Amino acid sequence: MSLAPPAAKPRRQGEGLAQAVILAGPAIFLAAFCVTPLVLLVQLSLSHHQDGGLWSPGFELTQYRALGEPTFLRVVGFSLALAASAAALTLSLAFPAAYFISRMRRRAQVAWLVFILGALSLSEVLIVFAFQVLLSSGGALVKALVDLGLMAAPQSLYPNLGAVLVGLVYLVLPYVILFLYPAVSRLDEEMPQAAATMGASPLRTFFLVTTPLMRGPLVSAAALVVIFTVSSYLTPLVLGRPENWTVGVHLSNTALDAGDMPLAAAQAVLLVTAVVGLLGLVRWIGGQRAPA
Amino acid sequence: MFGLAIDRLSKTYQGQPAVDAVSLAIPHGQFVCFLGPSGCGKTTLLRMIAGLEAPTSGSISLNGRDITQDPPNVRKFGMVFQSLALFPHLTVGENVAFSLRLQGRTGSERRDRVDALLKLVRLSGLEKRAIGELSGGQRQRVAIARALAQEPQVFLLDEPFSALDAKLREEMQAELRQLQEQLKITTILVTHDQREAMTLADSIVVMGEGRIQQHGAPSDVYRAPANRFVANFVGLSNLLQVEVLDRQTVRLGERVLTVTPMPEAGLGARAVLSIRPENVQLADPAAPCVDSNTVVGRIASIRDMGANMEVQLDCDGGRLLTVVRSREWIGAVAGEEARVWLPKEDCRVFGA
Amino acid sequence: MNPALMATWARRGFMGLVGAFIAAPLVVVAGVSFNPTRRMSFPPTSLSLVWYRDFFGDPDWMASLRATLTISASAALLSVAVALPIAYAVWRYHSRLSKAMAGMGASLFLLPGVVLAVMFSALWGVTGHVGRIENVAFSHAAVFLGIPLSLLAVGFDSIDLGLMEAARTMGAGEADAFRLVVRPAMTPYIVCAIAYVFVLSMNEYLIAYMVAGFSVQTLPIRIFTNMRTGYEPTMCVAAVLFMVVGFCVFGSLALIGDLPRLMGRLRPLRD
Repeated sequence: MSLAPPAAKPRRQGEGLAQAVILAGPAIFLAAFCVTPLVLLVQLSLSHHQDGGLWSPGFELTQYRALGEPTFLRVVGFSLALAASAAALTLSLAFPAAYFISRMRRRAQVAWLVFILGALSLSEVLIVFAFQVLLSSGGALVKALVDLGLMAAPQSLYPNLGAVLVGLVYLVLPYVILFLYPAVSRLDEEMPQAAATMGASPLRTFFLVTTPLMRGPLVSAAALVVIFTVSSYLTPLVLGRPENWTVGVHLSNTALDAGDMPLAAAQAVLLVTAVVGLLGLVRWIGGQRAPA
Repeated sequence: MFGLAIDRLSKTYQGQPAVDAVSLAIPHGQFVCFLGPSGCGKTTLLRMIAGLEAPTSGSISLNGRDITQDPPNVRKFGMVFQSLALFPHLTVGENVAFSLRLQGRTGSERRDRVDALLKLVRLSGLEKRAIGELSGGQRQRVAIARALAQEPQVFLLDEPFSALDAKLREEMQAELRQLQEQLKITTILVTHDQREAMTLADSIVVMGEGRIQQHGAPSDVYRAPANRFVANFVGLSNLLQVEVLDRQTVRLGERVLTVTPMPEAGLGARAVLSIRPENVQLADPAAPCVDSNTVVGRIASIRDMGANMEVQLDCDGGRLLTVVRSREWIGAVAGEEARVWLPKEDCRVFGA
Repeated sequence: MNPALMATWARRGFMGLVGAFIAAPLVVVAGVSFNPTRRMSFPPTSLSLVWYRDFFGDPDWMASLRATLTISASAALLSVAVALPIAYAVWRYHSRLSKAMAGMGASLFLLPGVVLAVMFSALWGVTGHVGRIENVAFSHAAVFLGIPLSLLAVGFDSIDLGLMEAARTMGAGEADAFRLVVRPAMTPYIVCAIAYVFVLSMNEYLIAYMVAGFSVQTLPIRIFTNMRTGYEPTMCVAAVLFMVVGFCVFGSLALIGDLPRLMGRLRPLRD
């Protein structure tokens, strides 16, 4: 990143024109597909709901008042708790994994990266399906548990909260490993070694040196997981019971089943606000005593 | 033995030996420098001593106890890294107190010790500073204080001063030497800078191609290099192709020269004569010949370095560099013929 | 056992578990697809390719496959085509405008999928242009824009500006410098970005469903409908197809480019 403010650089003649030519196309695209949908979303959330999935333009806060309903707030609270647990679980797997991968030999690293990219590209649809098969009463996991005597009789391991959590962790794990990979590969190897020469065991080194050095990327990764999971749709729908449904499932049901687009839009605006707030918080935490 | 003993220590990377059967004894309290060009294995050897690298074979023992299998956090040899590896998320004081915190010392104990250490490295009052706010020399001092906080049995430094400018480097070297004499701690410093090694060390271990080429006091290594590698790497040497006649005489071009007696065996007919430039004495061509060990050549160039004059001569055996003190200068000019005297005790012959 | 060896085994054990966790669903889906019976069971009782024949012989599945490939290919190309000028302008001019555009473009990727789905269904609903295949392609291109933007930024940052200047002192114009220095350095990053968006778009369900699900049945939509309405083993064949495409794309990327570097590793790596 350049430290000099853009104004400090004397602008050469023609640069402005060149930029305008280059950026005209992308600017039109962004206006049409980024700005407009956001504006529409806000406008929609203020519109008047009509039956049959229709709405008429207007300016009313009906939808926003509906957000204060206790049932909806409970769903939001549950989603946040679920997302936070998913973030904690995912980071405790992804951070050591990314660290170890970044310390492997090249061939092993490439193999792991291809493997993780392959898993990352797997559709959520397929993941929930695979977990359905895996956790079903006739699945290999249940059979193994029965054979080992850990389960009395074959019974399905889903739908329940645990299955939802496992599915969500699976979904975001490749993203988080790849997100942390550049940061851990930049980590100076002499830092943990210095800790070792001062008497720190590998475990204490990990918690006293490696983790604090990675605080910024770890906090960002946690935020990423929360954003991804708080509004997850398919996984809680398929692997969970209705009481395990997230804000995402309820939002989709509002839009698709109830056909109340304005209310769905208001719920979406709330989610966007939460995301922006979370990212702001992350930046603020990252700004506190950032590693030099 | 009291001190550090290394026995036939080897490290192989993918079939390539980085350190090749090195044996070495370092008495307690000595300051040793590992000196050698990059890639000679000196850093690998140091890292094996710290426990950061596992040897392929051989052993390391401290005060008679085998520590080869001990991990670095059990050996606890304080180490100053080339990058310094100061923790950016901790303050100066927290960095220095890191090992004390691991030992579970109380807050007041830690504070006292940090104060004493910072005073020792002349950084008193800076314990609240962030690492990013320090200058290069201050960081160096923090790294040294941090490594010394645990009162290590062996103190290791891996090219700690290579990033500093010349003036600051000399200051830091002097401080380190003073500190080491004060604390009487066994110290090993890795460097590729022969000046640094000469000024700091009680003894120098010259390394090349994964092996110890010579181990001795700085003056011995300089005056009596054990082989061609040491002669060439430590200080400047003139290396001339010669033909061996017997244990004490060689032929250089048409001249027969007497040299320091060479070992009985091992040298073939072709060999290399090594002599330091400052030992090559430019003689007045008009004066009578006092010794048979003289060579005649043509002056190729003269460089006035202020205190000294550097003269390049073309002789039969190749090019010869001599350094003459300015006030002893005889006033020759380039292109003239000149006669130089090669004192026999300064001429050493090594295998080609 | 000595501590160093113990640490090595602890590390290997941990990575083995992570690997097994990641591999488990892949193995299950692949296994079920080779099952000769209609039952959704794993491990398979015996190996059979019957569902593969069914899949490739079914015009509905083939139509979905074609639609999916069309959408993801156009979304990938469009997304990279929009991101490239922005990333280039950020690197070359450091202008406020280009940075703002980069931030804007990347922001959608950070929004929850459900929100995006509602946003885009509102957009296409308002324009009255509903249920079309290009709607999905444009929506995907916008949603995944953050990926090429960050990948290309990493790529541009790895180009030495000194190299550009050297080329220009040797008489190369802006266009020549671009051709000689920028293009060769950026090609792997561009390919990587296209591959990334392609694969993500191919697998995306919710937005595709909300934007055009009732008229365009992409593979994930068909698979999910299948799952809900009644199990049909051909869907596992589609799933295997996804995996094969994913691994082939990223595997070949690893063959042609330096994958650790593409993924943002800046330190050189010892073999």
